[in-house]
Amino acid sequence: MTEYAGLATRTVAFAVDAAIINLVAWGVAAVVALGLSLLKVPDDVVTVMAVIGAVIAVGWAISYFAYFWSATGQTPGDRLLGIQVVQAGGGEPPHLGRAVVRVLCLPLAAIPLCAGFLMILVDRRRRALQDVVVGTVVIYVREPEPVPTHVPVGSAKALH
Amino acid sequence: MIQGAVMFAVRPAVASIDFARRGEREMRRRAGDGLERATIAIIDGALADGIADRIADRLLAGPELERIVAKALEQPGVERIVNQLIASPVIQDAIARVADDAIARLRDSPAMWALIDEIAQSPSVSEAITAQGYGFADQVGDDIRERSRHADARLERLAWRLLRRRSPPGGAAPSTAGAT
Repeated sequence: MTEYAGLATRTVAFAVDAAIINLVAWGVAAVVALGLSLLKVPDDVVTVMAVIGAVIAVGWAISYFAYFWSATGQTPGDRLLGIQVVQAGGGEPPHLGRAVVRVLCLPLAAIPLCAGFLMILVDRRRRALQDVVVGTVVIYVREPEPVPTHVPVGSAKALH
Repeated sequence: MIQGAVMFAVRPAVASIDFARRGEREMRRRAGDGLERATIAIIDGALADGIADRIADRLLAGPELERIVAKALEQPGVERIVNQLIASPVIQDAIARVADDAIARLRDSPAMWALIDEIAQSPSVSEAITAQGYGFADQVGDDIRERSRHADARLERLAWRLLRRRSPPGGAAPSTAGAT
């Protein structure tokens, strides 16, 4: 029996991923900006570099989601929330091409007042627009076994 | 006049009674002193002969002392006294001084620091700390997951309630579980 992940869980996972993506992007941008501040760069060059930086940031975000979805089906945010993106038919993570298309569908789902995401609330398998387009579902991953916390501290051997 | 004559006749008798009382008191005092001296002498002799030691040994070796102590401990007054003793400032001060002294001595002891280093470097302590860290992270993760899943269900119920109001009846609620 598979349980499909709902809107709240997926939103929180996405927020975690967005935070990671932005932190990395801002960190890199800050380093580059500090470096450029030491040089005398013309304004036109700065504008061009800003455009390049924006393109790289978009590429970074797409690569982030596409890589994690196609590799394990779980971004770090998904892992934290215990959900996984899998193909609707087999339960395997989507291929890289499907993962890229899935990422590109995210803006499409967001444009009409997030209606593409709100589909999750009414779809039988809790699919959003991007899931319907590429044939994926998002499921809850079974909880891992708890880590044993008991350690025999009292044994003399344990100290050596 | 008659009264004066009577008083004159009785006076010797009263004087003799007073004399007799004084003599009795003096006799009793001397007898008491003598008895006290004799008692002390007997006790001194007993102590010199080691009788007191033997009595103490006998008491300590026998079960009587244990019985007496056990009976005394059963009395409610003993607990009260002990509580009062513990709560008294003298005892509190003494405990604080002893603790301070012990801590100061331990702090100055190189053996103590060697033992702490040994324990800190032991694999079991490292494993325990690691396990504790994982446990906390897991706990936070579990909590987030549980809350978000509850929120999923709540949002979905809300959405379907809204839809049922606006859409014609007969629409089934979404299945949150099923085979992929």
